[in-house]
Amino acid sequence: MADVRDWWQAQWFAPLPRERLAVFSRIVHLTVLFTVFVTDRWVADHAWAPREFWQPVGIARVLGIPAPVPSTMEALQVVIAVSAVAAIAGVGPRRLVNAVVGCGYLWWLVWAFSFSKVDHDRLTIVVALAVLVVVPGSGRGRDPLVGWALRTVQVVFLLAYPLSALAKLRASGMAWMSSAVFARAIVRRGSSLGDWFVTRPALLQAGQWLFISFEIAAVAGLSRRRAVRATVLVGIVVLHLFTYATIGIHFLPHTICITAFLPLERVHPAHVAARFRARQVPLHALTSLPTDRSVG
Amino acid sequence: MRWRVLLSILTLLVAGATVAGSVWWTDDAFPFAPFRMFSHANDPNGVVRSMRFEAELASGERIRLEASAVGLRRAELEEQTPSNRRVPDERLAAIADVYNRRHDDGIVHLQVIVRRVDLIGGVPQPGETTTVIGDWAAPGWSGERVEVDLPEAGPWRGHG
Repeated sequence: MADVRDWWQAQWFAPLPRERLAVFSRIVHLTVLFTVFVTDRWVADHAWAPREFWQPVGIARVLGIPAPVPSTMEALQVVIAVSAVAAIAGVGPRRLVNAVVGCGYLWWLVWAFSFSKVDHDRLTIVVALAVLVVVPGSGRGRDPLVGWALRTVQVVFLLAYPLSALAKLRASGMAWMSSAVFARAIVRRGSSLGDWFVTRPALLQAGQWLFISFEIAAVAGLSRRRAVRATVLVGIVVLHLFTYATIGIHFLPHTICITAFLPLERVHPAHVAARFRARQVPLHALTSLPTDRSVG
Repeated sequence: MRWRVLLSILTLLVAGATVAGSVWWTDDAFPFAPFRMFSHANDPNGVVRSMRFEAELASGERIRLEASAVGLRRAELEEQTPSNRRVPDERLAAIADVYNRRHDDGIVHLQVIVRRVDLIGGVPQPGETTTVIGDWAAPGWSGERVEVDLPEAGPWRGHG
């Protein structure tokens, strides 16, 4: 029993630097701003879309969230902008500010996906925003709660791969690997690299086998062995770069969460300042130098 | 110690919902929807269908109506427009209405056209075919119409 408890503690509550979570929090909140105000502008357009196309997802029906109209859509964007900027600047009570960003972004996504198409790259960032409410990412030093927060994001991030393999097998069975699914995606979304691939169906099918095999293997990224983890993470980066080059899809709100695996504290302002100071000539050495006045 | 137990339960709930989403649930369970992007295989010797909306404006100009011009994404417009059913006139009228509220040169005639490309061995073949599955015109418009001989599309079937 004690072994299981120790294993669980090591997996989920390894003390990690609070500065790491502080940087991760800023990355996540910047991504919220970037998606809402740059890549997801189509969501704002839903405010004036034909009402016949409003198909609320389950959470919208349970919470009674109505279809957006231009005034409510603008109000939501103001709430997200103000709270996310406050979160990045570290202004206001952290937990409350993070909760407002989290709820605002979830509401935004409900309005995004309640017109009959749900994108599948948002769960990781939603979970990241939720854990930042529980552990707001402030202060200095190591904390097992930070370990829990980042581990939760890592697990959801990695689960996406074997679970998308599972979804493929659930929807299409083993036929997925020998189907023309890549060819179809390229025909519909096209790119010059994609056009080169589309005339080589054997290569595309081999790619499908490789793709789904890697998705299943990606769970190895949860290993505590650094080399295994690094190999999987590099593989994931390559997989996403390939997808972006062939069909132009980046899954940014998901892929950005790969930063939960990185030693982000190294770019925390406190650490950067400490390193900068370490490179300076010590102050006492400067003050002990003879000056014109002391000589004179 | 109690908070570690609480957080462990929270973790198990989130991980459990994530797995359950992919194993049993549908997109309706967002944010715990299945990760089913590109999960539907298609036959290498089958067909690829895509849809376009073509409009004639009051000025006589013909345009290809992008979904974004009526506040939607292409996938949303296509998802709720089955390619083998006649698009109801009221639906096309609602789409034209949204466009016309935002443009001085409004739509007077709107058609939904399905393009079909055959695949052989996974390679797209030349010689695509097109079918009109919806044809709506504003009252008083006197141009040529297409008679759509298909059963009318019902309500959206929901998240599969």
